[in-house]
Amino acid sequence: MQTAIKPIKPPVVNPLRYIISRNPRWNGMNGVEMVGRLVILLLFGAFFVMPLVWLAIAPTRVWRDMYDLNQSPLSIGPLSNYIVAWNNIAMFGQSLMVTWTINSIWYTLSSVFLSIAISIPTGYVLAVMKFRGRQLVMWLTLITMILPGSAMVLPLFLEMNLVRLVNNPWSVILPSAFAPFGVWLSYVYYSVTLPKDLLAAGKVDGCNEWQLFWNIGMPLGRTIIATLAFLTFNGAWNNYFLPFVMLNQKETFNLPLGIAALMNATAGSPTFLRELPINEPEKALGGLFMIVPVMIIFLFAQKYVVRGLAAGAVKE
Amino acid sequence: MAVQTSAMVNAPIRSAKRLRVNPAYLFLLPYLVAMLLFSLGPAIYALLLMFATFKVGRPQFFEAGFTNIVTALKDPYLLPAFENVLRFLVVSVPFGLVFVILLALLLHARPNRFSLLMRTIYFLPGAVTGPALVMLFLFTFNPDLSVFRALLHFMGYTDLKQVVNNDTAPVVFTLMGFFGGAGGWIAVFFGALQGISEELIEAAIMDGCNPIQLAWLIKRPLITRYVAFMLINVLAGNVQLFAEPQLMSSASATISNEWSPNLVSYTWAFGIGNFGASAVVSVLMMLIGIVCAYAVIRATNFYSTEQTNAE
Repeated sequence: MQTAIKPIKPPVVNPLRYIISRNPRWNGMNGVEMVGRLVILLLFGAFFVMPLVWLAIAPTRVWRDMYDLNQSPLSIGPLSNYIVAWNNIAMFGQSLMVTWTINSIWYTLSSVFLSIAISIPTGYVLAVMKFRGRQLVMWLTLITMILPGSAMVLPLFLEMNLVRLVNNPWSVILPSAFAPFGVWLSYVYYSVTLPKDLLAAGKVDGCNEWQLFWNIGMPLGRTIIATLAFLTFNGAWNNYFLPFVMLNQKETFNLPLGIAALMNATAGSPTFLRELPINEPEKALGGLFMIVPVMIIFLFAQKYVVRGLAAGAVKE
Repeated sequence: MAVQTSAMVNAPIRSAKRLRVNPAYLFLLPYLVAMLLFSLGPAIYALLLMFATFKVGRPQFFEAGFTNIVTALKDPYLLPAFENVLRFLVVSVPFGLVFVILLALLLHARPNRFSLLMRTIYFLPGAVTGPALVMLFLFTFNPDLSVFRALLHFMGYTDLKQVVNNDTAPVVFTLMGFFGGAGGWIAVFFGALQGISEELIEAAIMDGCNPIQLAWLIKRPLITRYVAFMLINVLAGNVQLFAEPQLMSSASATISNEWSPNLVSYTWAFGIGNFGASAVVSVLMMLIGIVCAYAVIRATNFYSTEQTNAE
């Protein structure tokens, strides 16, 4: 087929050609498509990034200036205002912000540890071992995965009330032990990636089931462990409804509850913060406290997030 | 150990067999206990509470008959709350699907450094959820403060309550959800698109596909599996709105404090102290959640529990 090979044409002078003709250097797009693509991508980029930029510079400003229509919404004040905002926040209670941050960290870490310690072995067993009742466990996992988590919060509260765990951090940590989605993901992961021959070889070498899991399943499961760790971290760090119902003493709050209290501080609702100098810069700084750690993790763990979201869909 | 050995000497085969528990059950035990305590247990407890009264502080089971159910269903806020969520879903699900797919396809039309940068930019707001997300948007939707002040003024808005109120809530929550959630799904779809083989795309180009046809006819069908998965997740997540309307209501009084079913249930329990009626709303939400998820799963044939091991 000699006719299929066309000689490369010399550059066309007429600019109209760029608009209509397809340019191989632009993956076959013509000028209109190329510009349209850029405009749409950048417009959405602005939607996603501008509010975050605003939030980052808000603590540098004075709240009255922020309402001044003659000033740009993106004008930056002195960086030292960050410290002023922090001191204002520190005025409520004995540095509650620090307490909330510490609470958030330990609630989150315990939740991550607990859910992984239970989900990974369960997913592994469902994938590699045969036993009576396996189908039942699979079905229960799917059904409980579907149960809307937030509809369970109030019954869970009454249950915790029965065992007198309300206002105790464990009422927020313990429920994360049950992670049907994590079980499902690790089940899918192990049934797709774990070579059966390897397990058989391990058995021949005299490993019992526990040793097989510990020496083969765990090391080969590093990817799914990281993915689940990320997902659980994200869920627990941002958990609001459950702690909102379970914890009502401000010393036990996590960051989301603390931020909510900050937001309500000047909203005219009778909270304990009402008399304090909590305005837009202080609220923004509180929000950054909650967001920035997660954002840093997001930057470095992008592939785990993507894998975590997609993992449930990759089963053929 | 000693007892066991002697028993095995006496009846070597039989007792050894009887003592042996499949280790799978030991692995599963913690999970099953957790399931009972934190999922099935509360669900069953909620079913019981529907028929219980709380006369002396402790639940009196089966005392209430159907009165809780009647009380809860007669609540004038209940139906509007479900309507609100439905209106929200009608806006948010198509909006989310269309723009997530569009952006993923546009990024993939020319995968280069710029695409990767934009993907990361779309992705980062995923770190903003719950109260932080509500706070950010109370600022962003406030025509005085907003970084998009010029746009809001241009559209004729001068006050937060014009932008955020019960009528605009479905759009407001859609934009908030898109801000926080779209990037993750865009990255997922982008990843899926990168899995499409070069040969397939080259063959399509040889056959005369332009980029738009390529995206719509070749790439889009190959990611529908992910679309189904996203649909399940987005539906499940969106029905459960609590933090957003609750905080919008408490921090700015722009949105009704009984906007979503979760808020109605919460008010029954902690505002009024009627845990029976609260349980009715919880059970109703569970039922709707199960029916919807079941419908989507059946329609897309998504989960199969019989695993064929990939060799």
